[in-house]
Amino acid sequence: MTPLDWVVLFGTLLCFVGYGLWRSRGERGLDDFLVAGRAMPWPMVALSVMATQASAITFLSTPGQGFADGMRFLQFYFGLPLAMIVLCVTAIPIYHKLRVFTAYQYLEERFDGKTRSLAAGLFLLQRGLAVGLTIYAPSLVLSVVLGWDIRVTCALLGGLAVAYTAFGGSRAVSHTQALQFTIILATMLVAAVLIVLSLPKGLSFGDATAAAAVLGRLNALELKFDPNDRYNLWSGLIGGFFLQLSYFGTDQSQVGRYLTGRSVAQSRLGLIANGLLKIPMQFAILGLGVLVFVFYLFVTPPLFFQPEASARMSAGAAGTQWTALEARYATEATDRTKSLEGWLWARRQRDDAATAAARGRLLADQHRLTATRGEAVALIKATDPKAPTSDTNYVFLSFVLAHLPAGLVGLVFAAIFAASMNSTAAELNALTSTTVVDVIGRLRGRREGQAHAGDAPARGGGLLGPRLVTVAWAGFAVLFAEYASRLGSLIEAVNILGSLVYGTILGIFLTAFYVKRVGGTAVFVGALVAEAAIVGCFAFTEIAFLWYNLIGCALVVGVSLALSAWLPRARAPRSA
Amino acid sequence: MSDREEKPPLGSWARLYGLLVAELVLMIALCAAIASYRG
Repeated sequence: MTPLDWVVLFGTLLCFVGYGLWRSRGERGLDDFLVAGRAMPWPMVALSVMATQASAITFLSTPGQGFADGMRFLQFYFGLPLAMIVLCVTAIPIYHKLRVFTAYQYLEERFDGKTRSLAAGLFLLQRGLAVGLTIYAPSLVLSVVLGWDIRVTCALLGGLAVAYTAFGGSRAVSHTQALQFTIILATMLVAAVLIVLSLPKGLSFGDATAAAAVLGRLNALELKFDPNDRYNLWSGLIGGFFLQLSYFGTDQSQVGRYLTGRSVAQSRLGLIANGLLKIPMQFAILGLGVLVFVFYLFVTPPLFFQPEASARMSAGAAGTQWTALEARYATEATDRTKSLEGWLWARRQRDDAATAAARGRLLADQHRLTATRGEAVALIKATDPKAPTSDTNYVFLSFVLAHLPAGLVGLVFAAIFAASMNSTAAELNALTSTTVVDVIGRLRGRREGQAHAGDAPARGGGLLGPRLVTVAWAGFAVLFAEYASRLGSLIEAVNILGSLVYGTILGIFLTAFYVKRVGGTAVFVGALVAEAAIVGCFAFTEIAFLWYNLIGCALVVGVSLALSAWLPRARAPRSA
Repeated sequence: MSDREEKPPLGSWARLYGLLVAELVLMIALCAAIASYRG
């Protein structure tokens, strides 16, 4: 990075924090702090919802996936527009009508306190740990690429986000997200234009697309149904639908964003805009990765994109083997470029026989490169079994550092930091809402003898408590992030925890929305049974995680319906 | 402004939901076309 990049990076970050703090002024009460005074227009709701879902790792990992695995990841989002429709029709009017701060308040209105506590508890457990990883994952990549101690990057990412979240709450989060997300998208667009301009002169868009297609990077749709395959049309449409329904409908980090809408209509329009923009946005980010792949068809790529591991291998005991692999890889990459040029020439001549022969040579070269990279990964693993063997998250930043102009490199890094701040801030605000409303407020309400304890915190005027809760969650998240690398397999456990609980929480909410004759105890027992079954699926089957959402949800609805036949209902629903 | 006074774009919510579904179908068709392209 040049001095200009550092100026751009820190200048942009300071602007973001300053803007967030400026937007924090005049904070008036809990309604402002938790749901931005329910005053946001739909464009703000849409940007906030999209920014919350798109964490830093989205912008680091997605282009890397496009580079290494093609477009197939796009199918993961096919269920999202359908989920937005269901939420617009059902959840938004109910949440607005009850004027809740959190989704879990509604469960006490509809069922009982224990069901609300179960859902809020599962959220706090899952999101409380996951916010640490929201900080840890980009911190790891940035620390490796920038050469900083990971504790510094963790503290910086967490500190920047908490600075305005603790002062300004939800309103500061929404305004900052809108600014940051616009800058992130603009930066990605400029990066895409520069990648296209970096491609060899005379290479048309059609040539680039054809090269990506023949080398298997345009695999945007898989029609074959396979429950063990993570990404295909059916897992995306069905499994993805239930996952997105759960994430947007029951996860407070998202519910808290669209509860800021100034009316049902504005919240709905925000979610509809999200549904319209999400798939094209992911298409563009994956396409960015495919463009980087095409770029490296003409320029020799690094053997392994993770610079720290690569340097360690060069200087280590297996250095000679590693250097030999790098030399072989470079020769094979040059051969592939020649084969590609031969194929493109034959294609332009419309010579079918020559095109087929050149295509065979190109595919054989690609196969040799893949095999050599496989040998490199095996060598890394043999040298140090704990070393990282995936470099997907480093592909895009490695390209940016090596090939983009000064100034823009700093801006891309600022965009990655901003993406991390975006999601971290929304998650911290959601954890604060749930802690203040569903834990502290409920306990206080119970002590004061209120039937519906959710209203208790709204009466309290001071913001010191919620601010301290935000700082406490941020402190926990940064500490968890800093120690995450020592926790080993726990990181993986936290990553899958969301998949294990989302289906159950969704089942509780869908029962609440649509199955009026089921009462609190039935749904509570149904949720426990479903959670046990999902853990069983995870431990003993190979079923892809997207299906857990459907299985968990179906079990909650089914078991609670069966139980409701003989369990008495504790309370009739008061509303909705 | 109350929700009753707020008219959605395109005149009704059903049309907006239809737009979402239409876009999804178009995106899947685009993906099918891309995936079937062999260069």
